[in-house]
Amino acid sequence: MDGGNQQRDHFLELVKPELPRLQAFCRKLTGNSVSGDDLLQDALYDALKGFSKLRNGGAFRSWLYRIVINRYRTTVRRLSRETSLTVPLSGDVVDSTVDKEEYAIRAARERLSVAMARLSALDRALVTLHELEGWSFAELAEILGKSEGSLRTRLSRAKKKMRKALMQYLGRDDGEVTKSGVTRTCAVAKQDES
Amino acid sequence: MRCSEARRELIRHKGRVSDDPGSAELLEHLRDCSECRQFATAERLLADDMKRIRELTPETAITLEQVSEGLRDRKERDMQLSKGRRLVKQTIETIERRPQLSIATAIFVVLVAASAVIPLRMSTPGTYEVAFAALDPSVTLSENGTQAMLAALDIEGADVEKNETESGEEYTISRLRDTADVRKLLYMLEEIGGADVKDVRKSGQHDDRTVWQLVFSDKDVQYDTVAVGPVRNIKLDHFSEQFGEDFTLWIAVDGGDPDSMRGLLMNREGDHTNIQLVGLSSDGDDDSFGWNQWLNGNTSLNTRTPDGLRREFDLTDIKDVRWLEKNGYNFSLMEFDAPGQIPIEGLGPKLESPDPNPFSDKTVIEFWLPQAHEVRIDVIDGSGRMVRTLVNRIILAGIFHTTWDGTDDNGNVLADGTYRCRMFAGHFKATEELTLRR
Repeated sequence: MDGGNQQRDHFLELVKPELPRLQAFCRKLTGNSVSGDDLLQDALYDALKGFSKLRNGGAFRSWLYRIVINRYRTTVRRLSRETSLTVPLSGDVVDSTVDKEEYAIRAARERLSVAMARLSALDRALVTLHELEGWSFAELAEILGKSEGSLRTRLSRAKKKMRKALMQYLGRDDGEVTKSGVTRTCAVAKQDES
Repeated sequence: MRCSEARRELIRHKGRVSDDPGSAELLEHLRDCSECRQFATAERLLADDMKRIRELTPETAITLEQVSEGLRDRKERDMQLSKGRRLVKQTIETIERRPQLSIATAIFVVLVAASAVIPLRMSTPGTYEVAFAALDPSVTLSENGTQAMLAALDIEGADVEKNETESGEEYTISRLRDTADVRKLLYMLEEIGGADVKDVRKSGQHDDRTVWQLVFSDKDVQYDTVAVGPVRNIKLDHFSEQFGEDFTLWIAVDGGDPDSMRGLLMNREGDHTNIQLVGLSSDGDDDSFGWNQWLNGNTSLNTRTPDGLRREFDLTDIKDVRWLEKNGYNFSLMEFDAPGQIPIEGLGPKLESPDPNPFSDKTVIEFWLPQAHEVRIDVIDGSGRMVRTLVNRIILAGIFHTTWDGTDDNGNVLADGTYRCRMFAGHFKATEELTLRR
């Protein structure tokens, strides 16, 4: 029991300096603070469970971020099967008391949500880390275990998809609703036509 | 200038074009090419939006203490879940070994109709009661049979009370010692079929956070006959919390196959319990009869029966649901709000003003959802700190309410003052002020 507490304390000691950036990353990745904090807690729990297997303490940060990304990918995969949750990449809608700056932030989130809707979980993580969190390609290469060159190419393709999605969104007719993320519909079907 | 060149330039300048002489060719291209203009707009917006989000700082920073507490809570929850799963598996194995039934119990078995769906509780021992009635009001439940069933299950000290209600006879079995007794009883009711379980309550002890499990039997039952549905090896995949006393959603997965996920929606309107079976499945294909019937919040289904006649089914009526299930109909859960969907004034979710406000004892917060959402309702204090989470779950369409009694998540009484009630549902966010004044 004492060994377990010691390990937990050691883990928390290593997590502490990473927390602010990690939280910001999770929130930007999911698009809102509620889902982001949930993702953060889930990922930290996964990390704590696997902490004893971490051999190289110097690689803690990249290991931790990999866990966050993997947890996010699992969540996105699970959500695509279940109807229980959507992944709201966009933030909150406007109410009448919102000021101009907050509205601009919400609009930005909305557009990014649309733009990132068709990206894979890994591409979303890449865009979030590089474009929204300012990580360098060298740092990303360490986390994701890929070469800088392949990451640059990957990011370029992801942004191309984002641009295309946004162009379609901007060019839609009035009244048409553009759906992004995971949706499920309510329907009744007869299982066996015979 | 070709479009490909123009777009390369636009990417380089993040969608912006200066009016210096070097950009003349690009400007001229953009004047003639609407697609490239749209490209420029998209590129500019993307660059600006990413910059804006990049510069955001978190509203509230998570502390190490919160992380530590979160990790402890998760560990405890995982342990509970494992324990719950073991208990369910053991109980299923016990039922499938089938205890010797007395003649009275056998008679009881004969008297009941189609199978029930049963909620289970996973919590500490206490005093429990189970209320149930026959699904078919014309069926008479035997008090002796019920007592014999309890004896067969080694459930001692329980009281059996029969009540006459408008819809028929209803039984309440109370003073059940612990959750193991509850489970045994519920599984037996499930096994023999026909009991519409109205309620499972824990009496004599207040329990704020209750985790429910749903055991869903095989649909291989026949209406209007003796029904014994084999109990499958159910894997519990998701839990939802009971929300107040009026609404509960339980979810279970059969055998670990996510496509088999089923849910039961129970909501109370006065003394009447609406039970709606819902299936949670991925998008279906189009080659099934009636696939294009989108319910979207309606509770009735108008469809053609096998004899060719059109008939309207009430999906809040368990008999209609049973008929449909028997005839191969599969239900899917209400659609959730899709990100990117802009709500239209008057059609989005809504948070009503709390009532009473100011309040001293408790206040009721009503909200409505035109379609299913993951909903979160928190209480925030004057310094912006979240002090209480009132709702954090999936809720289907309808009008609901929750209450706040002026305490925080740990049950501590909070100081008088002004708070904010904040609701999230998909894209929707709203806040209402609350004043606590004792």
